[in-house]
Amino acid sequence: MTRMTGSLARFVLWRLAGTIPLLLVISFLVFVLVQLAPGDAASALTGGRPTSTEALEALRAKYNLNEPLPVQYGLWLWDALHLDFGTSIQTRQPVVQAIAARLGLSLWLTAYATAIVLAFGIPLGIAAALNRGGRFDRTIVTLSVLGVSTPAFVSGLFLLYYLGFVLGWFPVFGAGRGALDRAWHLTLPAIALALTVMAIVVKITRAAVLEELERDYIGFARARGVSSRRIVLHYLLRNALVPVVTAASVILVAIMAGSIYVETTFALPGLGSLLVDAVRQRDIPLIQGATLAFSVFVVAVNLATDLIYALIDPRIRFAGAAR
Amino acid sequence: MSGLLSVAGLTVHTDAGRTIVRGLDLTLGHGETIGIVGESGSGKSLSMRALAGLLPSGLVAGGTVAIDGKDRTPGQRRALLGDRITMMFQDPFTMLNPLMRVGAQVAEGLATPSRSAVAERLAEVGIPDAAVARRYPFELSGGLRQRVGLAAALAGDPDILIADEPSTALDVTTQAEILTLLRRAGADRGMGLILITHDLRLAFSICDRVLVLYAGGLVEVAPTSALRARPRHPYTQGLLLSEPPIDRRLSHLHTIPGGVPEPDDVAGRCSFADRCDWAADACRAAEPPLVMAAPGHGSACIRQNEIAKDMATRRDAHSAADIAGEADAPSADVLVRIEGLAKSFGATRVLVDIDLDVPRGTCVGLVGESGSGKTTLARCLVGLETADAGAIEIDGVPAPDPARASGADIAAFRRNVQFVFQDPYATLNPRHTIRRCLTEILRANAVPKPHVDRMHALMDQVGLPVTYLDRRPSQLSGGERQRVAIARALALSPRVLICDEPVSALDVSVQAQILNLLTRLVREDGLSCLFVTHDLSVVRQIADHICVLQEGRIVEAGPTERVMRDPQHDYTRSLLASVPGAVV
Amino acid sequence: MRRMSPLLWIAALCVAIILICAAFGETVAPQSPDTQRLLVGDTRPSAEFLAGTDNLGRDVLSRTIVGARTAILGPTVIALGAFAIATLLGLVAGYFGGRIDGAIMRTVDVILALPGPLIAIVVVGVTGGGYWTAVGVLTLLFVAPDTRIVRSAVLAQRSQPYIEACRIQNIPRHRILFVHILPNVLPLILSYVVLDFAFALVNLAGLSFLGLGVEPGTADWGRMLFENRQILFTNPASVLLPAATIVVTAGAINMLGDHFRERTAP
Repeated sequence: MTRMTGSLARFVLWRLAGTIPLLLVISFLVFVLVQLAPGDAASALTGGRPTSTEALEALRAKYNLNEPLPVQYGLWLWDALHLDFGTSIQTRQPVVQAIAARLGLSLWLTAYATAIVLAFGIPLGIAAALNRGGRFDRTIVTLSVLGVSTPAFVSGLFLLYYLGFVLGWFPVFGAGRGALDRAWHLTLPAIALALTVMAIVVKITRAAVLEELERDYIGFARARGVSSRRIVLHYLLRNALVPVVTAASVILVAIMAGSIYVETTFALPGLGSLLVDAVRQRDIPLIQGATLAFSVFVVAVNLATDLIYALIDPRIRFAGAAR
Repeated sequence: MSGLLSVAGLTVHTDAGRTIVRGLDLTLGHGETIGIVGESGSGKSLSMRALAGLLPSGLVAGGTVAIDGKDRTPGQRRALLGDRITMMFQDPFTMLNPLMRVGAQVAEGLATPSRSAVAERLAEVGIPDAAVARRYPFELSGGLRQRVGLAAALAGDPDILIADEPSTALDVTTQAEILTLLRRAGADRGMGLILITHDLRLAFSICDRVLVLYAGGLVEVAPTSALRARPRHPYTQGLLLSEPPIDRRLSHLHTIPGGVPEPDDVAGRCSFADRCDWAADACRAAEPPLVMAAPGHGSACIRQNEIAKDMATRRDAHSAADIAGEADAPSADVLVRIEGLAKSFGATRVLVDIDLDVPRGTCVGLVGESGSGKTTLARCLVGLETADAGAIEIDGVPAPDPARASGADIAAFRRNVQFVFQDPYATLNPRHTIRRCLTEILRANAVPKPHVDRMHALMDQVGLPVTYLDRRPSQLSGGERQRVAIARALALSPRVLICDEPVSALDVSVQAQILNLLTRLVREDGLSCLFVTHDLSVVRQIADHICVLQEGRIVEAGPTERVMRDPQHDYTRSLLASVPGAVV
Repeated sequence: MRRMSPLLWIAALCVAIILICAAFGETVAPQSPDTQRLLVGDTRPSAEFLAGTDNLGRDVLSRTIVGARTAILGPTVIALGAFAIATLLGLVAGYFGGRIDGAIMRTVDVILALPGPLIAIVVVGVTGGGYWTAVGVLTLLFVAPDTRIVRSAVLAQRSQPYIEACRIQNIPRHRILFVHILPNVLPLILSYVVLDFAFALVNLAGLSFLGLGVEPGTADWGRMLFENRQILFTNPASVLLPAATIVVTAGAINMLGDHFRERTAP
């Protein structure tokens, strides 16, 4: 067993080491975004308000705008590592504070939606594959195509209108107070978010299971009289989940992007709506902070899925460690 | 007749109604081993799957199957899987669950799974080391995986074991071991063993009785000795005679012209009539029934009694067939000279200090098992791989260094040496007609126009009709595609042709056609050839000289006759001993 | 074309209708899409305005019909543009391997690691760009996953014996790439182009939904969702009609794309 954990540890370290250059590149791109804004960076930072020349100079000094670009980046990165992203132009609040206040809600929403996606998407995909060609399967396939074509903002609007307004089962905006009230408020957004992604998961799972069913080792297990239940649980599931885990990063990016739309639709004070507001108002420091937060999250999820992948499939561990 | 297993009129159809198997009868007793032999398209694999109730979706089985005297429906047969009847598949690399330890997989069939029970089962198949149980399949070699598969299949102590080509994916030495294991397992346990194979000699080596299938139907069934000595169906005889013998070299291999038809295309008449030397009008009038000529010996040929004598004459003539004269003393004129060749892939040394000569106008056979480096050596010769060290010289011209030589030099060198690949189904561009394929090459090498004459000449040289020029690969059979591949290789009039297992993927009767073609090219057109293969019988028929490769080193080299009759190296001896039915 | 189910035929019909609307929207629409009737404001569906009017009194149905144009143009450019670039990159990376492959795929990996829709929102928002900026940004973002797809297809062909035979027979490299490999991967690529189109449509509409991209006042499905969200409860049709149209269009194209992909997969 020590052989396993040894190679696993090496694999983890290897992957962690690989993430750092990626994070650096991402941070640089985020930093460079400020250059894209039309006009002078300093006037962008004032939010277009009329300012005296001294105030502009002070602003330039504060944000190091007179330094060459690499130095600006270095200084910004240094601050970022200390979790200092400057202050929001609109609210005058430290960016980190603004993000922290909204982070919780977004994580709640994402977790809720992910739970729905996995709890329904994977079983439906498996069931459809096992029923291949049957009525259930064909219905699921058609529904999943529709699901993939229904972006989160569309499903959000439909749910908002019919379940929120017409039937009044759920509140139509806001985040609620207290755990249970919050869960009730977040249900419609979470479902809206989950629908598209669930359709993707159903598709991937179904395709993965169908492919595994063709394989020789399944046939051989049947030929030896291994029970169907055991085949599904111990043969099919583990092997078919590999493509699903590989797609986990796609899934999470989709949920994240969707959350931006859904928070806007349901007026939820989360990180997504924060970002949209910041973009509309060209609040550079806030945009930088929020974008970096999102990106770090995606990278962390990718790393986690790679690790899960290595746990499920021993071949990866050995290949990675042998390098 | 009610032994362990009794099958009557087994059929397999697709949902759409296409016939795959047309009515198969067989019986199996306890402790008996029978062989189901057929080429591709014979239905041997699917018929046995139907028997076990394991047909893939889209296929339907018919007929009656009785186990222990009681009729069983497909559903009932499936319920008996693991317990009474089990099937083992061809490819050891995909047969086991990749994510489960092998011990756990063996334990699945055991009534009382325990570590010691698993160890016992592994020992039974020749794996004494109990630690293997903790391994994952990818950590084991093909041979070990096949043994584990066998242990897993036997775990439920079935009465009937169906083994589908259990050794095709393995080396010849491992193959022999697995077959012995199977045979012993059957005998020790009183288990009925059904062996599916395309190799008649393999079937002869361990089976008590053999059934020969052709185009979905049973054409002959007989005890092994009877079938071998006195086949009563022209197809069986054709198959027997097409097998390249290991003990001598024939100047010309027996072939069966044409290819295997679809069962539906030959319904209502003898399926073999179109290719049969003794076909008469009566053969095409109705489907011939299986007639027992002697106890246990049946043949589906209505003319079997009439032609028996003629067939015997043919057989005798074949045994006495002119043996190809000993190759002339190796000419000092060496066309291809390889010295000190070495190649490594990462940390693995694939080729170590190879010295090899190919004399002009001869065929040199390069023999080795998988991992011996034979394919790498072949690829180095044509520039698909670059050796780490050593020199290659063709017709006095040293091979150009890809890093330094000019494009023109490399191109010129390549024209002298061409390659034939193993897989006929991937060797041609699926979207180009044959004409387009050849034109492309002629144009790229500035061969002066008109090209038409050259293309016609090439097609003649490989024995294909000129009309094939406008066909696409999908319209050609495997053997035909390989001929096109040879024609393509000859397009630039190379001095030497490198063939990498060119017949391994072909049926025996087609194999013989290609071997005859290559022999003719060497003998009559003066082509030199390096023929890479793992099959000793094949190399016997085609090579004037042999080199035996083991783990990247040449362990023995010399004239074919001498090496085959009087091998000096232990490895060569073990290779020869592993050939099914070999006389050493 | 032969073995299409009734559902697929309906999908094809929907696509045809949308294409007609995109080309001849103004002719097909019952009203002019831009006429404002400020005194009327938002109204529920009626005989004259089958889907009602928005808060500027414009006919929702006509705007939806004309909106097909921005829904088709942009995604077409994105899907074709991204794949044109990706095919070139994928061919080069897949065939030549080595450092070129490393450089290209490293870049692709970085782009893939970024949350695409997020980057699009930020870039389009910060630059204040319009519809075509959004199209440009999305095209560049799509190049990354498309290059991966092309490269795998090329790698699969490259190790095939028939390509190795070409090398041995002195076929020049550019011919191997474009005459031998490309035609064999093209069917697969084309089926993915169709799927990319649907995805681009949804992403572009998403940007408009946030008020980014398309210019204010344009008849665009996503934009209509942005503008009419405030009157969702008074004239739901003004929101739900363009929303449903997005789903139907993307769905029909996805269905057809899946069908073609199954037919061309090895």
